Amino acid sequence: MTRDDFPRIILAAAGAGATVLTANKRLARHLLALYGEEELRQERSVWLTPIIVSLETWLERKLGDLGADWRQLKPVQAQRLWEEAINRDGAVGGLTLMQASSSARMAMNAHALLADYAVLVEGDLLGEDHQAFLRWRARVTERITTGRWLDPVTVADVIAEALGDGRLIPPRTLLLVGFDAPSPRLERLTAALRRTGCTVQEVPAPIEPKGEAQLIPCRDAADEVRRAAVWARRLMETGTGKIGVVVPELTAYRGLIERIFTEEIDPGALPALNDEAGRFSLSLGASLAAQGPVAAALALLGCSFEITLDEAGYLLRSPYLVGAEQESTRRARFDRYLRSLRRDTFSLHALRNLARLPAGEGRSGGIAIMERILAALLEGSREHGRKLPGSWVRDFEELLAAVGWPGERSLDSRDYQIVTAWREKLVTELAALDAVTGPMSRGEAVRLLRRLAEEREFQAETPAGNLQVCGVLEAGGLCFDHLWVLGLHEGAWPPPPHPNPFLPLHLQIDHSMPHADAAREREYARRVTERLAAAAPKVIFSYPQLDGDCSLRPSPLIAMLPLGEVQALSSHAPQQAIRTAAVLEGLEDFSGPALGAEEIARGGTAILRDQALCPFRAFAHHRLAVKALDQPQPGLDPATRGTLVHAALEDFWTRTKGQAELRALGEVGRKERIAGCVADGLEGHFVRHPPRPPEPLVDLERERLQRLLEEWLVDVEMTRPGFVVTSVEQEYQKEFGGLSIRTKIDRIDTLADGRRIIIDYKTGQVQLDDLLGERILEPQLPIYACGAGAENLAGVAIGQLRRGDCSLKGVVQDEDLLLKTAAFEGSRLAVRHGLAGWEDLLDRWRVRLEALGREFADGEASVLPISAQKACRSCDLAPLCRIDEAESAPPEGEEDGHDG
Amino acid sequence: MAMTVDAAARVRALDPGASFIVQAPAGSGKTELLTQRLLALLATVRRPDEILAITFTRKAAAEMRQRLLLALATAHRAEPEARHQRRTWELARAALARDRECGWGLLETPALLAIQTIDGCNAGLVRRMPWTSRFGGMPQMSENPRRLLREAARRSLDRVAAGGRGSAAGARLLAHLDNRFESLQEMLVGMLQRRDQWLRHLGETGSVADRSLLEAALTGWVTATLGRAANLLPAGYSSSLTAIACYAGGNCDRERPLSRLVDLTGIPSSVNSDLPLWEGLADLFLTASGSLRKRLDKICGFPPGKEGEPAAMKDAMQKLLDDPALLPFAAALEEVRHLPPMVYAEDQWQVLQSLVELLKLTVAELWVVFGEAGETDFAEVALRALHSLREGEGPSDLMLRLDTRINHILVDEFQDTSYLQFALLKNLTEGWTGDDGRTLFLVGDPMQSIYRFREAEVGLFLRARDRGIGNLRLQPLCLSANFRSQSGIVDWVNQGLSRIFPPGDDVARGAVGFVPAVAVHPLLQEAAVTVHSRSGRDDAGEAAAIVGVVRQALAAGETSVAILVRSRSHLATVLPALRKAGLRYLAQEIDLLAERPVARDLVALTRALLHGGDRLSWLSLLRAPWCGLTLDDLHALCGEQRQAAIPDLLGDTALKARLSVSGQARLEPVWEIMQRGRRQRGRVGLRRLVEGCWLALGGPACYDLAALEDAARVFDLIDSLDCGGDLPALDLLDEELQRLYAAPDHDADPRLQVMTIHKAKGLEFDTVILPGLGRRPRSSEPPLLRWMEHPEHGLLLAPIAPRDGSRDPAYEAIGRLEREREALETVRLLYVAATRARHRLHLFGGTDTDAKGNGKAPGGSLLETLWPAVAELFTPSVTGTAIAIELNLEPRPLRLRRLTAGWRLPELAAAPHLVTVASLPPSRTAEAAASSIGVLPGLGARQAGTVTHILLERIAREGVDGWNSDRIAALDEEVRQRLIREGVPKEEGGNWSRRVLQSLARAVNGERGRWILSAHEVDHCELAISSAETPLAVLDRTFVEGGVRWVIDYKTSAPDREPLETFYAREIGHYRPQLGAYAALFQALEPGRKVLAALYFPYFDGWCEVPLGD
Ligand code: SF4
Repeated sequence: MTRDDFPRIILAAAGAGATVLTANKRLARHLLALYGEEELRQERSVWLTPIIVSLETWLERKLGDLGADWRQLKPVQAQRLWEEAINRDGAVGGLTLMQASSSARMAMNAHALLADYAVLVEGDLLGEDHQAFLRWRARVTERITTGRWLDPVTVADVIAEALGDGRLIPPRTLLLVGFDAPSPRLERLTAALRRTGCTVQEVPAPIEPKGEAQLIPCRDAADEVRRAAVWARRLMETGTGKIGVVVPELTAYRGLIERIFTEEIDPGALPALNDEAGRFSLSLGASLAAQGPVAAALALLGCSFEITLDEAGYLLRSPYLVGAEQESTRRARFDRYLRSLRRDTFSLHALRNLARLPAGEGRSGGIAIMERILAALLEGSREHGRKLPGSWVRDFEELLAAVGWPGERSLDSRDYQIVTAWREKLVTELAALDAVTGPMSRGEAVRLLRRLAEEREFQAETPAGNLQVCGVLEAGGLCFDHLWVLGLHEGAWPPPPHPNPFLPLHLQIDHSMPHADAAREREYARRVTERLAAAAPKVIFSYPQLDGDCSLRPSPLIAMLPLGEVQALSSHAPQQAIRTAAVLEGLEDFSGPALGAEEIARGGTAILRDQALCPFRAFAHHRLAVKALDQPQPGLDPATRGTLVHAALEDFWTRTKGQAELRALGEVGRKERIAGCVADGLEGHFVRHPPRPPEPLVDLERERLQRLLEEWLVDVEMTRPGFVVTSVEQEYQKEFGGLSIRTKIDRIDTLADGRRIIIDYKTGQVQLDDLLGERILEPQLPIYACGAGAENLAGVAIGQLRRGDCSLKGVVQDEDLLLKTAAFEGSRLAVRHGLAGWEDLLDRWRVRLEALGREFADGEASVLPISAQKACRSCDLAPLCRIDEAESAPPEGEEDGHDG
Repeated sequence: MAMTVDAAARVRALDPGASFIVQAPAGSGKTELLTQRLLALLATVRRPDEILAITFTRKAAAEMRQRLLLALATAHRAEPEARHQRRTWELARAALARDRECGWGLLETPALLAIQTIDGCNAGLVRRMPWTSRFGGMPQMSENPRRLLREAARRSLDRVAAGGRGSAAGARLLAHLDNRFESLQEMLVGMLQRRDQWLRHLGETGSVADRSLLEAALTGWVTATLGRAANLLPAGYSSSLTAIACYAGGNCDRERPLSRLVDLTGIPSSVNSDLPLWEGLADLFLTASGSLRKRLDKICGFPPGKEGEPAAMKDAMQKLLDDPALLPFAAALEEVRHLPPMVYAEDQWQVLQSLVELLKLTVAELWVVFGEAGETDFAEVALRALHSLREGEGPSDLMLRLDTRINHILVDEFQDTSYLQFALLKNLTEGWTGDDGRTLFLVGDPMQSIYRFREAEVGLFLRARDRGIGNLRLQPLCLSANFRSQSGIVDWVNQGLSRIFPPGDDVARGAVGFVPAVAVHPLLQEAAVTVHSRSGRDDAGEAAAIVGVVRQALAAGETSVAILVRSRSHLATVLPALRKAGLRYLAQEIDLLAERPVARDLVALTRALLHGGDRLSWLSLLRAPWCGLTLDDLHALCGEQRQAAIPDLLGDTALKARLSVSGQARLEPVWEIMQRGRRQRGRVGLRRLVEGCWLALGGPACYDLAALEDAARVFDLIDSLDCGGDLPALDLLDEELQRLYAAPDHDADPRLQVMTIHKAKGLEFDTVILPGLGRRPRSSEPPLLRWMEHPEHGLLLAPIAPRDGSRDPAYEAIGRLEREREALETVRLLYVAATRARHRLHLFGGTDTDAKGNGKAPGGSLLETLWPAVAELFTPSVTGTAIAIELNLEPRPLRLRRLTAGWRLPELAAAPHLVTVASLPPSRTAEAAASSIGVLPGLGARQAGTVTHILLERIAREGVDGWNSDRIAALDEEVRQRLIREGVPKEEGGNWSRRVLQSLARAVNGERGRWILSAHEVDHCELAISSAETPLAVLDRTFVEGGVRWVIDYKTSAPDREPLETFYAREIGHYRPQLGAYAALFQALEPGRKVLAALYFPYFDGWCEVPLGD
């Protein structure tokens, strides 16, 4: 039979009333379409639809004719039975099966194989996996019997029997079309049909005449798809006819094909973000769970009583909730506020309360609709009982209605189809499990729903063009005017065997079951290759030569073909076209506007610090008020913990006047006072900054603070030369180069001789060099030292509050003012920084701070970090300042160990 | 090629009946040997998959497979000339003969060859054992398992707040770590990453670590070390030493360890309580830094005194110090000094206990997390594979489980094997006797073992060589010919580099001695190895000098020049210098993708599209080259609105009017594109969304050509993270980008390559340049737990010290052992680097200066390790100054680039679009879709309708006469089942089934119903009609009665407290178009016959004709 005879024979038979059964639905659709074309050519506008259906559909119909279709288990129901059987087998070695559902699928497949091939395994020598399978199968069979269901794997035989005993009327003529390798059950069925006198004719896909075949090696998969797409476009531009692209590993290639074919065939659709016009049809859709509305619904239903910041952010951004348009930017600002709390989880309860808060502290307020959504979620998450899946479906629908899913934006055609699939196909599938399963928890129902959504394929209906992309199976029996078969490298074609793990291997090989061994796959692939080679007058076979860094060879089945001409690519892809059209200009943008008279620069000492590190950084942070969104932290974040230390110490030195009093307290008194300060600090902090963390975390922090303060007071404050605390957290303001800086001084102490020392607390590692260099990276203390307090100042010091490493590091005029600190003049530190003495230091501070202040007030904003190491590594602005464009200053990150 | 020195070994290695372990140094041609052995084995087996070959990487597996197939494919050609090719050819012919004899068809069926990576092999094992492995089905390999590990750690630490099992343990550890939640979490993640190493030590069940077992190991180790020290004291010294020790102990400060010796009665024994005495002895001999005491004074127990006891004792001690016989003893004392106590202190034990408990919980959480994600990591697969092999007893059972028989195993790169892999191999070869025809063939070079950070344990190679694997003994073979490097390089490695190797192999320490090679290639003119040193760290100068060497090498005609580094960061100045000098290099995994401007812009664009509140991303978007707003304009836009969301400001026309004119013109198109993008969120995939906007903005026009490749990588990543058109977590994209590298330069000179030494393993280059040898490595975070598998004493285990500045002696001691191993591996790393060179090797590094002004290597640097080999070559020189000036590496303020004003997107034309006739029309237009969404029948009604239809059809088919109310009532079960199948919740099934049964009963009893359902003149039960407009119309009921063609649709609706006429009118209005279309079909099909249409309502036996025509 030839390529042209093939459809002619089939259509003629169908027209004459024969029943035509195809290997798959696509082929049935294809033949029906050909039939229609023929009728139209004969100028008939209406015709009776011939019986051309896939084998599966036909069996289903016959079962309906028997009135038994409702007893047949649907695939999801059957899978559920298997899963329950598997889960009942229980945990071994403390572990439950990680992927029970995929085991269930493989076990179902094994079960179907045994039924199909009418084989018994029981007598065999069996491994543990085989035995487990038999246990599950016994259980499933038992449940099917007691439930009086019909096992789907037996349907063909049930039909064959009914045909035999006359309960079903056989068709007079039956054609089997496009079966590459008829299975035993199909053979049993045809035998039964023949016995009834039915004429059964097998019409395999033609393998003659061979098309003119060429082999084209491509660089890699992307190159291969690109070439095929360019080829297809050229054909579309020059002529008509059916164009086919066949891909054995379609799942792996799907993404590439969808993208690259769109780029080449409809490049304008990409920048236009227009997803309506399908200019080619792809036989494989994406998972339903990956579609916008479904992902949003699943995220909503998946919310438990506590949700992570990421989950909350997802909901706040989702366009599929009511109010998403109206409250769009206010929700975004709420998310920003949540992030500023730096927690990684929130209870829904706390979240709802936060949503109620009025504007302030970066909140915009005004998210009443979101608040209602959160309240509905809270309500939903309170369901603890066990219900049947169908009842959960009701609950889910109610919750989705309450949160206004699928949103207030008008649905486009695609979203509409998705929402319909959710309502008509997906949730009904879950509800259909009521027949086979018992009550379950909400979480389990959601997990099931998610899995069903993941397993269900979704493809938007679009008008089919004359370009079809499909897998090898779907291509069975299709004929084209032009055909390209891609992805035929050695590892993919023949497909590597993957025997079913639940059946003994030798048994699968002996019965020649599908995928069992390499030899069978080779024969199968050879047949398919032959039929593909005959499916069009000209056929191109291609393969990628590289996969990552592995080189690939052509499949042995095509390696002997003559090499096709590899043409230069004349791509229509938008990237290239746009790049070619580039016209760039330089831009020197080193400063912004000078600080306006009205403009108040907030930020205090951080302004000068940023200015010293990198002028752009100061401008962006403090004039443009831009910073990266905060990142969540587990437990209590370091910044909060630092604040708590400051607060407790402030309180302590408010209650305690100086070293003498500290000493007088004695150990018991001191500890009591520490405990009091810590407790008050914690209470106050979380009242001002709700929500309060869970109590165990607060307790841990309380103990930590007590230990740290004790260590600090005993190791540092009690041992250093005597002092009286003059002030804590004193506010202070001073102008530098036209920039007014407002700041707080952690502490000012008065020493025995009446002179003063100012102290700044730090919870990290401290380097005094940052205080003294040409660019002052720690301006806090210098700012104060330059101002009012200067004349009576004996020194400045940083209190390093680190567990196990508490110390007071400072710069002082004379020896013995601080513990183990030499007079500044002549010290190693002074020499290193080229400073003659204390006055010299004060001078430097004054000059440098003035300069920094003036730079800032002038709007100076060059991207010029003092070093990548010191400035850029801890900076959030890299995307804005574009420092990576600098050729000569790549970040010089710290040296790291191995990076293999 | 001439006979090589190791020809005999190469022949022996092909004996298909014997097992071997082959030491194959760099350049010895081991891949060829492996191929030959594979061929030799193929000629003897029954099925090709009896042979399992394991390689280190997928690339190596592909190469080996190709070599093998190539050899087979050329076997039918004439005998080759070259001797070594001849051997391969002969072997291939034999294998091919076997292939023909058994009918394998290897050349057409390459899948028959089992050549895999160890990961592939593990995956194959668990795939075959879904139940035994507990995976259930092979999960996906996670692209970024760290995320899953972190989730597991987070969940287990959540218990601290939530209470329940593990909360006390978590709280204790937090207290131990100064309540640093985030660092505990990170440490847990670090531990999880390496769980294939420690998990087996913690036992499968129970949460309590076995204290006695652990302490036994500690005791064993300490005792053995003390015993060794005691043995090193030569006979006859004991009493004099004791006397001196007592004296010094009595004369020193009470605080010193030395003072504990005051009552010493002899050399201390090796029990725990004597440890302080040993420390005292160490104090007697050694200074704090571990060197022999040079000065004896009061502080160390010898008060001044010209005569008498002080003088005598001091004298005696000095003699001991000067006695060379005591040197080993003194050295051992240094080791003793760092020994931990043999038992755990109570609080240390508590912490350890908590840690074990928490780790086990975290591992359990991880299993759940993996399950939810449907993903896992390689470690888990390896663990499960091993577990599956161990389950059950005996090799026969193993065969059953594997379902195949493996008779020969070949392993490449065996020096980088881990304990886990070793165990796997042991299990696979269980029961092999060595003379039963089953063979193991291990190849590797212990001198090139450099994957400690991936759990490689070089001691295992030595152990397998010396003691075999399980009961299987292996014959050691050693190759020595070097086919790669010129004689000058080989000689320098043999004579110079060999000096830094330890004197011999030591399994326990992971030490590997040097094995010299014999060069096959002759000596080249001029120096093979050149050292370029400079005094102090001078990155710019060094970079400039490297530029010089590269230029020279390329000019001299070298076909490949490689710059190899220990760490990417050592290239920070070298790469810009190369670029400035116009040298385009091929960088393998060097530049982070995240730091490329194109990637930064794409991240900002993505975040801006998704998050209106992300000011940083929005402003970055506006400053990117496609918009290029100036700082003045940015400030005008948002300088006063410090909290506002930028999209709100961009929507504010009055505010925008404050921007410069050109700024406004630049902003407008960008704002439009962004608005469109934000409208389409969720409707297209995230990749489409971002890429679409990027194209519309003119993104590709903003960078150089290489950036397109980088952009493609970012888009692929975005695609893989897509969750319904959004990111599951906003920061995920930034985070995941961190593990990707930028694409290599398209226009690079392929002769010049840059990569890490690890990446270079297995490769070779004409000239090799090693920069930054003087740089120090970064110190890494200390782990939560240190452990070491000691080959003699078992597991040594210690938790981190509390965060209070104190130290844990056991933890520190294990750390010392690790550092020792690390140092030994550094030697091997240098060996790998040096042996990559075919012709020339250039070493670069800066030296420190010691107190005397001599150059010395910076501590911890590669140079320090290398020092003994190069010290004499190292004379500080300063080259490259001229180049440094030429390149001008001074920083300047950054200049930007942007698209010119008024730039427009070029036109992008679509291909002509042909819709074939018989295609499906789009279901609904957008508007129709939007308006009809509200009228979807709810769950229940629709399904009840479907079921009613099905059953009415059946009744009509069977003939209504056979039906009555009783028979309808008997359908109850079927109706309920059908409803559930259709998706009606079981609990609501009763109501709906009642409704269905009622409808059916009314239909079979009703007058209309009976008429419709009974047989007619011309009657079709399953009638489908097609036309060009309607591909497939299936009619509820149609027949010819009295010459009239009836077309009837069933409707399950019913009037709702309204007059029947109103109801009918509404329904007719609704269905008339559809029925009209059906009627038209019949008119065309049966011209001349009258067609009437009607709706039938079984629920109340209602009926109305539908007027046709206009
Ligand atoms: S990343 Fe570096 S250059 Fe950019 S703003 Fe920050 S400090 Fe300045």
